Amino acid sequence: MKTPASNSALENKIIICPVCEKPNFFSGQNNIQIKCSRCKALIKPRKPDSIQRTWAFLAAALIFYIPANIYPIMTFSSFGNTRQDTIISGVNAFIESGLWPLAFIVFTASIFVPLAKIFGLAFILVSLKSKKFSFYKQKTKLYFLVDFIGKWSMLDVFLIALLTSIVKLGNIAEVNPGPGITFFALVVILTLFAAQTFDPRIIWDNKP
Amino acid sequence: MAVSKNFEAFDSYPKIKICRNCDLLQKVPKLKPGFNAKCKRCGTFLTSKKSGAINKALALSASSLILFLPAVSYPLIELKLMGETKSGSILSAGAELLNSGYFFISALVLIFAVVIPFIKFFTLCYTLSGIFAGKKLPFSFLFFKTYCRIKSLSMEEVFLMAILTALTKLDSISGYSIKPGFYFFTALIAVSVTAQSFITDSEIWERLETI
Repeated sequence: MKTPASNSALENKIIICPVCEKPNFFSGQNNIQIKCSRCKALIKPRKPDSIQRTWAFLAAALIFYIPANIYPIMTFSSFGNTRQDTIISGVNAFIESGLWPLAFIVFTASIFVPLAKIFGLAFILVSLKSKKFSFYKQKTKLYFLVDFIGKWSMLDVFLIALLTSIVKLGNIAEVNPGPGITFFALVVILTLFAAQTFDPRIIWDNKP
Repeated sequence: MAVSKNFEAFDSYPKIKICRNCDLLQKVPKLKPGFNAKCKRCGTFLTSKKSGAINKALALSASSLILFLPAVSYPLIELKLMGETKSGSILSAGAELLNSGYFFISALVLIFAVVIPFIKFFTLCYTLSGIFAGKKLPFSFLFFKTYCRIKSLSMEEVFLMAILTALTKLDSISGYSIKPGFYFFTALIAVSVTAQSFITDSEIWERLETI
């Protein structure tokens, strides 16, 4: 093997501070909590109960994803005509009016990114101990990607907040948020938590 | 003794780096400005050497703090339809949503696009000014710790994307005009991103310790 496991910081009794990245020595016990010598943050060798917590957040996110897609995320009313948009019909409306680039952005932010986060993290969790799917490096990259793109799914929430406040001309034109956007925002928050509670180092801890 | 050997290794810190994604302990050669170091096992970004120009970073982060208030309080877009006009800023959007009873959406906008970005800009500016002056300012460790914790939750650039998407959407409904707040907000993002390109967090920590 190119890199023996003894090169991990944990086996050398070192914890890297997640806040300021300072290496700290500790006694070697797995469930210990110490104070970072530089920034005084409380740190542990690994994030506690990482697998269970991430599963819990993922399951909650997946459950809320269903009402987020069924209920309308916004209603547009003009002279008595009301048009309700769900996430998918919103993307469709962009395509119908020929705004392909925008449809692509909204599709990526509201449909692709949340699903990619949920299923990407679930795949990492399921294959943690698998010998067949032992792509450690690719899984670490996948986690990095999930963590990096996470906040961009907030785009739809901000978009509707902005439209609600600007398109408010009484009878002429009015936009209101629908119940779907609340569920969608919950999905985004829960997936953010899921990515935060997962500790990518356990991918490598299981390496034989 | 293995442990004392490790302590010796730490004297040469920052040459020893630990990958935050795979926990690999590794030596990092001295980098030239503009170069990055990646973990040799998993490829995660470890550290980079930037120009280290505290004065430039401070000037830009101070500008971002100055631009912040007009960026969030001035109207971004104005809608014109049949003689009626309506404009909205980030703060007014948050307030109107709150008044219409959409507490959750309002809280998300105010927290992620106003409060957290403000804390981020303020704590960075405060820490950098302490380093620039060569004085140990009170709470500088606490403030920079807060900065490191919340910076990944700051969503001002996502909000900019939302504004741009809203512009295109409004274009298909009716006429709109761009208001000063939009330019302030765009400038704010350009300035704050540039400020962070001069110095790395680990460099700031090391300089904070040596004051």
